Formats: sequence, structure tokens, C-alpha cells
Amino acid sequence: MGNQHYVTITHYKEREFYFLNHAIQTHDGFIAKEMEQFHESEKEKFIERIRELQSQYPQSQVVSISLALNQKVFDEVDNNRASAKIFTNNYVIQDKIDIGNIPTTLYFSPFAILYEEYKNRLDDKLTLLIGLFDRKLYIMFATNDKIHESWTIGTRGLTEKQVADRVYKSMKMYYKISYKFADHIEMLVTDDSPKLLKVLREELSLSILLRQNTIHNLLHHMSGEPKRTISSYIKSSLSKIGDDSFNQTSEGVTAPQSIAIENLDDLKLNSVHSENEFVPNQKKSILGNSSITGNMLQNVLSFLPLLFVLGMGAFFSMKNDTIEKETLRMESQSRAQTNNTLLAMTTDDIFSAMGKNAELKKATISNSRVEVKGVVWGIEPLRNSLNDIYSDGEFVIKPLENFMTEFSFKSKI
Amino acid sequence: MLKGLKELPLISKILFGISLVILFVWVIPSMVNYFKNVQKQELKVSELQKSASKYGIAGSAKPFDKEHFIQEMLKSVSKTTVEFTGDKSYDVNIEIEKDKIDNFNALLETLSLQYLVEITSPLEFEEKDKLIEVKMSIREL
Repeated sequence: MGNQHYVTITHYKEREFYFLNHAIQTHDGFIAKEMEQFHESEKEKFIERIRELQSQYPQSQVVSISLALNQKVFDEVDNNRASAKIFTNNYVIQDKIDIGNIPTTLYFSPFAILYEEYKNRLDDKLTLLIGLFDRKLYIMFATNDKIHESWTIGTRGLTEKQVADRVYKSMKMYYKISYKFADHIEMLVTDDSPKLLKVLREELSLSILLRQNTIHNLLHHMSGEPKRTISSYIKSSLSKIGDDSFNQTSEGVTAPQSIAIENLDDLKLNSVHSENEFVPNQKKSILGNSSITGNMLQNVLSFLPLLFVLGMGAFFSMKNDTIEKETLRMESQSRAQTNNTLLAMTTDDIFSAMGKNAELKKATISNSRVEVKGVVWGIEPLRNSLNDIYSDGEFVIKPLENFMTEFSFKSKI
Repeated sequence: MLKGLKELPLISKILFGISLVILFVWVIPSMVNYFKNVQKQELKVSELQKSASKYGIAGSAKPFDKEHFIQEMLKSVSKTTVEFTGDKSYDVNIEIEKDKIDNFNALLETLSLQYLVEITSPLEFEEKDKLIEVKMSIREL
């Protein structure tokens, strides 16, 4: 009897563990069974268990979640990549579906789950939706008609304060490109993290409405109704499964028929696209890979104090060199001026002393010595005048043949 | 603030530490030296301005220009020649009438206030045909 139920088998990997769960879907919701846990070394056992459940419940879907960081919401579908339509003109896109050889028939993006959880609460006011899945933040700004921006932030190794800081920076960056702030924040967490919530509330100064649920329950919910499932599971471009592949009967919940693909490996893209090709065509590139951008930004910001200090040091050293040169030149000028004044005074003294008593023939005058030679008419007045100025000077007279007298005077100053 | 520092990644802490060391070892001493030199320079400027105003000279000293120097000298002396001897130095030869030796003294007193030069040799005076020839060497500052 039980085998005729539609069953959703959910699994995902967190750190080194695979988590497996299955639930019976009923008209009133799903009834989840006990969660099973497998270490990654028990992968074969884990796969075997999925196969066992599949054979036990023929009407089943094996559901998983894409926890890739490089997924993003775009306005247009990209036929070369794995995509899921969230709602009109909003597609979550990632490079490829990569779940290895683990049986999976439906694959959901956290963005799709976030939208599904909050779509009825959206209105024309901008709302920031944050989903915390496996220590990664999936963030999107949304109104009831559009998802305006989305990005992911890895939180591994970060404190709650650093995570909150990154959310705040992301909001600021969004504000810079759109000049809009979210009116309120809704948050869906799959981990129990009251501290993060507290810090986020403090940092963002906004009320945050929290909803907590497990990834398994969210996946059971997503794959519980064909209408919901068809609108948001990730499709590969190579998959030509139409939206009409789900049949919802008026009788209630039935299993999606034609998407009963054994393994999503079949849907993997043949072409491998590099990260560089996954560049958004809009201004979104700034926010494209927020965790990497955040780290880079943090590293760049770490250099700012050093650059600032080096800049200041270089500025003052340069200015100091310039002003030292100028000051040195002024000191030389001042010293030269003093020497010149002294020279002028000495010259004036010598010429005044000679006056009309002598006539200069030759003189050497410096600030350390004077040597004067000339013809003298009044020997005593000249000697007295020179001795008045330079008492230690050597005054010598020498008669000349033409009845004139030559004098010479030497003195240190 | 200390809590904020503790939460910084290791590389940020190291860079912050290096910044602090550079700040205290290099930047602050440079700043202090700079402001000391500014004060010293202001003092020198004031001294030179005071000397210049004593001789009625407006403005600061100009870099030495040979032609301009000769023209200015000829206003007070009979003849002036200037010869460049290398290393910013010049030999200056001035001829002046005996009774105008005071003019030469006045020029000497204001030389370094008008031109950025210093006299590097003793003054050599010699009588030549009722004129006095003065030789000296000057060097640009």
C-alpha cells in the first residue's frame, strides 16, 4: 500500500557527510522519515540506499540541492548553461549540474527555494531575501515582479560579525548601483545560528524576519507538488523536457511522470565553460562572486593604512628635503652677507686711515688679514691711524729714489 | 576597537603592525623635522628681510645673472667684467674712480642681499691710471 505513495528522496552533502532523507507526500503535506547520514567514504553504501528506496517506492523523485557559489539570477535564460526558471523572466543559472554519479532526478537552487518560501510576502517594496544554506549566504533583492539582484557569499572561516559585515557591504554596493535600500529583510536559515541573526540585526539596523527549516524539509516541499517543481528545478540546456512533463491530476498529488530520469549525469553539459565566460552582461559583475570579491576587497583594504603611512612619510620626507635645502641656502646667504659687511667695513677703515696722508698702490683685504702698500706723505699720521685700527700691525716705510716714501702695512684681523 | 582588531585576518594585522612601525620610526620624525625646519626657515627669512629693509632693498635675493649683474654694477663703477671659472664660480673685475670707493663699499654691503652669491676670495685692490681695480671671486649659492 505504502509503495503506491509518491515519495520524495532528498539528499545533499555537507562537509564530509551525505545526508539522506525520504518523505511520503500526502494531500496535507509530507511525512518525513528519519534522516540518514553517510560518511563520504561510504558513498557506495549511500548510493545503494538511494537505489533501494527508489525500488521500494516506484513513484518517487530523488531530489538534491545545488550549493554551488557561482549561481546567479538573470533576466534571460542561458541555453548553454544549467538554468531554472524561478518566475517570469527570472532564471537562476549556473555553469553545470555536477552531482557526480549520485542518483538525482530533481535539482533545486537555494534561490528558487528562497523565492518559493517568500513569494507570497513580496510586494512592490524592495525586500532583501537571505538564505543560509551550508554556511553559504544566498542573497537576493526582490519585489513581487522581479528579482533585481542576487549573489552568494561564503561564510566558512568567518565570524558572525564578518558575515554581517559582508551582507552590509553587499547592501551598500547594491545601493551604489541602484540607489535603493531594502525596506525589510527576510531570512531563511537551515542551520541553527542565533548569534548570526543577532549580529545581522545589530549591523544592519533592520528588522529581520527569520524562518528556520532543514534542507530536507525544504526539498520535500519543493518537489511535493508538480506545479511547484516544474517551475523551479534546474534544467540543463540539453534537456528538452518540457514544462508540460508534469501532470497534475484533479485527484491530488501524483508523481511527475516524464521527468523520471535516473541520473542527472545525462543532463550534464557537454561543453565546459570557463569561469570567465560566466560574466553577467550588466553592472552585476561587481557583485558576481561576492566571497572572492569580498576577500580581495578585504586584502586591498588591509593595505590602505600601510599605503597611507608610506604616502605621508614620502610627502613629509620630500617636503623636509626641500625646506632643508632652502634653509641651508638662506644660512649661506646670511653668512655671506655678514662677511660682505665686514669686508666693506675693513675696506672703509683702510681707505679712511690713509685719507690724504697716503695713496694706495696695492692692497689685499680679507676678513682674516690686510696687506696694504702705497706712497705716504704723512708718515706719523698714517702710522697712528693704522695702529688705532690694528694695534698689532706691522708698519714699514721705505724711502724711494724720487724723494718719496713707500709704506707697507700688514696685519691679521 | 580592540575587539575589531582581534577579528582582523592575520595578514591585515601584520600590515597594520608594519604601518604602525613605519609611522613611529619614519613618518612622525619626518613630520617633527619638517615643522622644526619650517620654524628655522621663517627665522632666517625674517633676518634677511630685516637686513634688506635696512638697505632699502625690496624682495628677496635673485639667482646670479651675469649680464644683469654687470648692468647693475655699471651704475656705480666705471668698468666691470665677469668671467665664469666653473663650478658656479666667477672672477669679477671692477674698475672704480679713487674718490668713489664708497660706492664700491655700498655695493659690497648689499651684494648678497641682491644676488644669491658669496665672495670666496680676498679683495685685491690695485691702482691703475688713477683708477682702482678690484678683483674678487664669487660663487653662486
